[in-house]
Amino acid sequence: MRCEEAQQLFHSYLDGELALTLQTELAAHRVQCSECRRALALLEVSGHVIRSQPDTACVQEDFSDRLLACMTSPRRRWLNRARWALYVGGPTAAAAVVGMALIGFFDKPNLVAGRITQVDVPARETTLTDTAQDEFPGSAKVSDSERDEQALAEWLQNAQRNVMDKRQDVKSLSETLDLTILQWLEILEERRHELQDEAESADPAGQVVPRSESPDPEPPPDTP
Amino acid sequence: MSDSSSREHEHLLVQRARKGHEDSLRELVDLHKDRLFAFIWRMSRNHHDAEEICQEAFLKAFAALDSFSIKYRFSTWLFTIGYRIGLNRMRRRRPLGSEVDWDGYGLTQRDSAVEVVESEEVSRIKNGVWRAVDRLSPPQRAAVLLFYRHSMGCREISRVLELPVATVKSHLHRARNRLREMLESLPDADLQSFRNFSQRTG
Repeated sequence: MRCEEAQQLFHSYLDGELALTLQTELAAHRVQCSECRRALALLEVSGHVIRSQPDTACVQEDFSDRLLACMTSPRRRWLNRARWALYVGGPTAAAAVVGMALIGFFDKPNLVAGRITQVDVPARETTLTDTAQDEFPGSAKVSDSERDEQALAEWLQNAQRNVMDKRQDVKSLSETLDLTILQWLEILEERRHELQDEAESADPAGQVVPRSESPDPEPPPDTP
Repeated sequence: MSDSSSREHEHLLVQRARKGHEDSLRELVDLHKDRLFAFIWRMSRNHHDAEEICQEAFLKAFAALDSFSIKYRFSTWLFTIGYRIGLNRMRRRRPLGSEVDWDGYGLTQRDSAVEVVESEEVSRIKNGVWRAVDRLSPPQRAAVLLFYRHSMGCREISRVLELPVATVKSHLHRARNRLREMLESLPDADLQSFRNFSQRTG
């Protein structure tokens, strides 16, 4: 083995990853070559120093106690509870809400312009087809999915009807509001005319002839 | 305890710790705190910072225990977290130097159980090596420490450092070359003394 080949194997040898045959060749070359022997020894010395130095610095004796106390401190307990609420309690509560919604726990009556219209999925009705299927098992059966589709279609119809009713109510309300505004405008217009008449019936000199307060004005005196 | 039985025991501890058993949490801490601290301390070279990083690493590991996969070692995962925290801290702070506490370095302490007296040459070599280790880049330093002090293979080091295996090997080899360059500047007599010392102490 040449020196260049041997020196390329130094680090693999020190890493403990050199094949046995190459270890033997390197050992033999080391005996024969003083330069390679010295170079490898210099690499080995530092490793030996680092490995053999005893550790005199160490943690304090109460390190474990302080560490565990820190883990169970009130702040850490609060952090652990907050972490539990975020990762466990939150998803659990969300799953419970979804489950309750699926079983219809949150179904509420619709309030439409004072009329209460209950909107819910109609119950499955027993049809002649079902009866026939029960009595004649061999006949063709209506599948559950078809029944569900029928129920869903009826529910949709009801919902659409409710929406139409609601729209009608909104329209009526708006018409009512429009009428009210018109009435107010008419009243204001009347009052404007009255004031105008008052102004016109005033003295040409500018004096205003007071209107009689009696509802029925006195007839003008008879002229001779 | 064999490696497979220790892994089983570790898995059991992790499962119990997930359920909040404090005794399992404590045992996991006691099993790994010293090794983790030693690694973090040699990376940060500051005792106070190292302990803080260790504590934070354990807290984060326990907080994310549900995401830990038992097909890996708990220590590998813990070291990954600790290394990441330590690296972020080191990036925010100034380089090693004034904050290094050399008291725990242990270079000047003599082990009374060892009868052979450490010579000045040997101390010089050790000091030189450790100072050179401190001047390595964080990934190179981490690779060297994990390889030599924690007996991790390159594959496990790649998991801790979250780098490809080839990159880890590159860091390790470059670190060795830099340490060798430092040692080449020392007189041969020092190296010979160190070799003799190593042979006597095993």
